[in-house]
Formats: sequence, structure tokens, C-alpha cells
Amino acid sequence: MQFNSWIFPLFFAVVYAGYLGLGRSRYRLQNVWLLAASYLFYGYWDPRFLALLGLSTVVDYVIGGRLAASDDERVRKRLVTLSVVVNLGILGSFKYFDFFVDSTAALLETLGFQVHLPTLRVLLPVGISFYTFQTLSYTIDVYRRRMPATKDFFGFALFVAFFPQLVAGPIERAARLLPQIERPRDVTATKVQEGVWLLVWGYFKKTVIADRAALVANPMFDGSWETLTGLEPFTAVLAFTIHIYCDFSGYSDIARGLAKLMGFEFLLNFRLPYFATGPSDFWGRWHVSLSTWLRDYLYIPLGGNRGSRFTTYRNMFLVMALGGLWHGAAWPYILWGSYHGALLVLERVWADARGLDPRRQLSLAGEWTRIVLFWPPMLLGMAIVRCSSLDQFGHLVTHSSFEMTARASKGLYDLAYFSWPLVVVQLAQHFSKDLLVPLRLPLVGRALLFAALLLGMMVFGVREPVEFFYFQF
Amino acid sequence: MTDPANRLASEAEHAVDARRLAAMLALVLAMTLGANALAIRLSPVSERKHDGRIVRAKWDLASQGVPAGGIAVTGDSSGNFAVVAEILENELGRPTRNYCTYGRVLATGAGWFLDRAIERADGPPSLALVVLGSRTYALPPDGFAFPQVPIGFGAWRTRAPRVPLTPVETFQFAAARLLPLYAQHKSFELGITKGRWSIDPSVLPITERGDSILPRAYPDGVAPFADKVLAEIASLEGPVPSEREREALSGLVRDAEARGYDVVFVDGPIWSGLAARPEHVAFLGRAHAYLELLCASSDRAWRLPGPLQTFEPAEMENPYHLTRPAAERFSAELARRLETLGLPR
Repeated sequence: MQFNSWIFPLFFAVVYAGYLGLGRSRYRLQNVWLLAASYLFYGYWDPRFLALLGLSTVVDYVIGGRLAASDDERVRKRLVTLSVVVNLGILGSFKYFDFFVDSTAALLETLGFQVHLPTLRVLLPVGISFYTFQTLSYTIDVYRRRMPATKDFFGFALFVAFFPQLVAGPIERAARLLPQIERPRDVTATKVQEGVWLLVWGYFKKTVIADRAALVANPMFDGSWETLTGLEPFTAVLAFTIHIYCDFSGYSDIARGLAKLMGFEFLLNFRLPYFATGPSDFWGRWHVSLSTWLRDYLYIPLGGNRGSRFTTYRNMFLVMALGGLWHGAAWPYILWGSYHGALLVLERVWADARGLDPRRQLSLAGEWTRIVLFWPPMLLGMAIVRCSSLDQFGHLVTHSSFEMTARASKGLYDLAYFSWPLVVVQLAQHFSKDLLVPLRLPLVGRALLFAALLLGMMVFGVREPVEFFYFQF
Repeated sequence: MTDPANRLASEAEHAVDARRLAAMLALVLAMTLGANALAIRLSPVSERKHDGRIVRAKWDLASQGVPAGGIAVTGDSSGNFAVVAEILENELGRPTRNYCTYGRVLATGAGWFLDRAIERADGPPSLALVVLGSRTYALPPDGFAFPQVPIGFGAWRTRAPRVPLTPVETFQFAAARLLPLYAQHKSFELGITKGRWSIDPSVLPITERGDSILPRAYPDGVAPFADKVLAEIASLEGPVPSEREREALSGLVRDAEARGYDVVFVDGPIWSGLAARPEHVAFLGRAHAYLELLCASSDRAWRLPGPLQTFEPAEMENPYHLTRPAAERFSAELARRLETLGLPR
């Protein structure tokens, strides 16, 4: 069930009415109600997916309990290894097995060997990368004794399957979300207002800006891309850059808005990434729940920046390459992750060589210079992830110029026509440093803004449900 | 200077009490509904879209009532452009009215026009023709299309044919009525972005008997449209016609029995190239099988005998829409076949 389908508002209306009806004091019953709703939400795609979700839940709940009960470090290590193997095994089987087999076969064929390796060709369960990382955070944190194991099975099952963030994040941490599940939630007017804003803004970003930008980008990338010339490659990449951001951050906003309506708080997932001053700043703003997950559960265990400079650079690159692979079992994602890894390393090498502190203060002019300067490499990264072949990427790079063709002009006009609200709102958010800055408006101004966004969605929103880009991950 | 610790935006709390929140949400609702009401008042669909104008004109015609003992023609756009009421009137000697609109309202919506024409008449017609192009059997029910027929909210439970709308369709019906900016977004978007706020009625004349006349053929559009229809057929799941349409079609037969008139199901005209495609033959065969079964259960219902009336792109605007000379031939043949059935009685 997609947030932008007609069935979802009806589904949520029923779920929300039931949730509020049960009342704050019966929060455990609320949890069971939300769990049932979450399984219905997920099973709506394909009921078979529920088996994997259930397996992941039971395995990690049991392992979490055993970890808490044992003081034997060898046993605990075996248990956490089992959790990692099971979860990554599921992820690997469904998402990566065929990719590695196909890549190996292609490599062997390049070397002159004819091979027929078996593949699984199974359907990729929606959101498997998200909930696998989420549930792994639980067993690892219990293993590290950063949080106690939960004794509330339904609460834990809800943590794994909670429908607002089940299929596309934010990737919640057990230490953050489980305590919210295990106590009564307050649904306050302030939270409801924030939730409503996030819902309206998230849906606007998705249906008006992202889906419209996709109408510019997709025909250029998927159609006759060999004919792109002049400013057309730039237009295509810019359109994709707007599309992917508004699509994914729109989803995150909707997820966080739904959570706030029910009294929960999810992690901030986007913090104005297109105002980043450099690669490391970008990853502190883009898909924050993933980048911090990778930092805590991969980068730091690899040694982080505690070793030599080379080890730090290696760790940074490796984590980003694996982060790329997390996004999808395809070479463009690995290249994209590696590219960002290389950018991070270059930034660090530059800072180390000049003895600069990456977290130093910047003047306003310095900050904006860096923001502008970071756009070209950031766009190049977007081109890498969107291009389906090296030929396509090569064509875009080699056929770009400043010639304004009719197609580029039309595409840029469409992007400007539908994206200007994003620019206005984000500038206000950036300068105020407040992502909820629209809520500072007086009551009538707020109402006007909300109504204008709703009316904009009605007229300009793309109607056919377009699947969220990040669902494929 | 921008301090790195404060460079990242976060969410500040903006406290609000329940009363002010309720006031703001009420204001948002009022503004949204008000803007929609104003938009539809300033720009009615019948002035903005040909579909809307056809629906309005046909509803007005139906509201005058079908001539007692006459012939009422209802159905989709294939019937709208192919049935020349004047020819049926001349050939069969009964006053004839064409209430056909377009396919998205399905047989369900077509039935509501017929119901309107009969309820406003002095007596029932002698014969009702339900003209449907094959594509209409492949279209899914659309909660946003039904409300384009000007029936009241909930009237689907009382009007013939009675059909139960699903909760989602009911929701969509209400949304379409309350939020025309949403339901008619494409034409409003054209108005806002291109300034196209009105159509030229002379492009598509509608006669006093309800015939619509296509000004010209568009041969190049026929084959691509047929490909789209074939793709829709290929993606179909479940019975043909759908369960919902079966209820509507059988409701039409029950209504004919109850009110005492005959009903004939007629295949609309079709491009020969589409009609000959094996997947189309199989698909339409399923619809025909159902209609045969339905008609066999009533002495008031028939499926028009004879092969499909096929035409060539030179006389068509899409695989189902005919220009006038072809429509005249279609209507003459329709009258001839009705006579072989001994209709109208």
C-alpha cells in the first residue's frame, strides 16, 4: 500500500480512529492495533513478504533475549553473529545473490569461459534493506550493552514493522524507537500541527515537485538519450536531482508526519542537503538515518578515524562504497557510493594537508561559495546513479554545452514552474535554521499556506500513483 | 559567521493549543472547499471540456423525458458518434433520442441517463438501445467518473441500475463533488497554465435529438489508440464484463421488465484492424457470452444479431468514433437489424 494511493487515506483514517479510541492508558493495546495495521499495510503488496518480516522479528527478539541473559562473551558473540548472518543472509539472498552471480558470470565470460551459474530470480520484498538494518541495530546495541533487551514481543514486532517507516525509512534505532513504543504516547496539539504540516509538505513535494520533475527526467534518461545535447544533459540531471530529493524526503516527511500524529518521533532524515558545503556536510544532511547507521555500525567498528590517515581514508571509502551497494544490487549504485567515498577522502586529504578543521566556522560568503561549488560534483554523482550504462553517462558528459535547445528550455521551464515553492520554503528553512519555520506564521498565514499547498496538489499533483524511488532499495 | 554546530537546520517547537489548531484546520478546510466551489462556479465543466458539455447536454435532453413509445439510445461515445437518431426515426417510425455520453461512466452511468429519461417521460419508451464499444467492457469502475453524471450523492442506491459503490469509490464520488479542482485537474491545469478556460461548442455540434457529429476523421490516431485498448485488454483480470458491470447490465434488463419496454445490447462501431485481432476477438467473445446468457433469461432483452460493424481509419477519429457518413451507414444497418428482430414492437 503506497502513501500516494487512494486506499491509504482510508486505511489511515480507520487506524488512527482506532488508535485514538483505545486511548493513551491502553498503549499496549494500541501497539497491537498498530502492529496488525502494519502487517496489513505490508501484506497489501504481497502477503508472502510477511513471512520474512516475521522471521526477522522472531529471530532478533529471541537473540536479543538470549544476549541479555548471557554474560559469556563467546556465547554473546556467537549470538550477535547469528543475528547478523540471518539478517544479512536474507538481504543477500533476496537482493544481492543474483547480482553477484550475474557479475561473476559476466566476468568469466569476458575472460573467455562459458558458464551457466544458478540464480534465484526471486521477487525483491519491498523495503527489505530498511527493516533489516533497523532490526540489526537492536541486536547489535543489546550486544554492546547500550540498551536492555525488550521483553515485550508485540512492542518489538511493532518496532520492526511500524508502517509509516517500514518500507522507506527513516531507519530507526531500537534505542530510540523502542522506548517510545514501551510507554504511553502524548498526542498534543503541537505534535498534531507539526504532523499535519509534514504530511501536507511531504505530499506536495512528492506529487507536485518530484513526480513532475520525473516527467522531465525520465523521458530523457529512458528514451533516446543518445540525442541529448547542449543543456539537455544538465536539464535531465537537474530534474533527477530534484525528483530524487523531493521523492525521498517527501516520503520521510509523510512518515514522520504520520508518526507525530500518533505521538511518536522519528529521526530527521533530511536536513536541507542541497545546502551542503561539501561531501561530509552533504552526508550529514542526506538520508541521515542511513549515514549515521553506517557510521555507528560499520565505520566505527572498522576503526573509524582512530588509526592512521590511510586507514581512515580506507574506512571512509569502504563505508561509502558499501552504502552505495545498500541502495541497490547494481553497478551504478556501487559506483555512486564509491564516487562519494572518493569525494569524502579528497575532502579529508585536503583538510589534513592544509591543517584545516572541517567543522570550522565559515563566513556567510564562504558558506555560499562552498554551497555553489559543491553543486557540480553533487550533480555528477546524481548522473552516475541515474545512468543505466557507462555509455549513457559518457554521452551526457561529452555532449553537454551551454546551448539552450527547445527541449532544455521546456524542461527547465517546467522545473522552475513546479519547484519554486521548494526553493522558497528551503531558503526560509536554511536562514532560520528551523525546518518547521512555516509554523511561525500567524494563524491565518499558516492556514493560507496549507490551503495553497492542498489546492496546488489538487490541480498540479501527478495523479497516477508513481512508486516512491527509494522503494526499490 | 556560520557556526558549524548551528549550520544544520533542525525542528524548533512551535507550541499551539487545541483551540487554535482546530481554528486553523477549520480555516484550511473552509479555504479549500471555498476555492473549489468558486472555481466550479466561475468555470463549469460544461464550458471547459467537451466531455462535460456532452454530459450536460445529454442530461438536459434526458430531463425532457423520452417520447412515450419512442426509442431511447444510451451508451458510450461509440454510440454518441455513431447513432443518428434521425435515421432510426425515419427507418423505424418512432421518435428517437440519443443519450450516449462516454465510456468511463460505463454501462452504469449510461443506465442512469436512461433512468432519467424514463422518469421524466409520460410513459416508457418502446425500445432502449444500449450501445457499447468493446473498450468499455475493459474499463475499470472509476469513482471520479460516476459523479460526472449529475445524480445526487447516494443516488446509485436508488436509481436504475442500482449498483453498490465500494468505500473507495464512494469516497472518490464525494471528493469529486466537493473538490472539482482535484477531479477535473487536467482541464483546470490547462486553464491556469495555458489560459484555456473554454471550449468552442461549434467544434462538436450536438443535435436536438442528441446526436454528436465529429467534424473530421483522424486516421493516424486510430492504430495507436487500438494498441492502448489491446494493452488494457491484456492487463485485465477477472470476468468480462466485470462483476460491477454485470450488475449494471442485469439491472438494465430488470428495469426494462419492470417498466415494460424492450432493451437491445448493441456493439458500437469498431475499426476493422482492431476487431480482427485474436486477443480482441477472444475478449469480446467473453462479453458476448455473458450478454447472450443475460438476454436468454428475459423476454424483454436481446443482443443485436449479426457481425460487428467495422470501419476503416479514413472515416474514424479513433477505433470507435465515426464521422457522419459512416455513422449514417451504421445507423441504417442498425435499423435494419432491429427490424429483423421485430423491434420496436
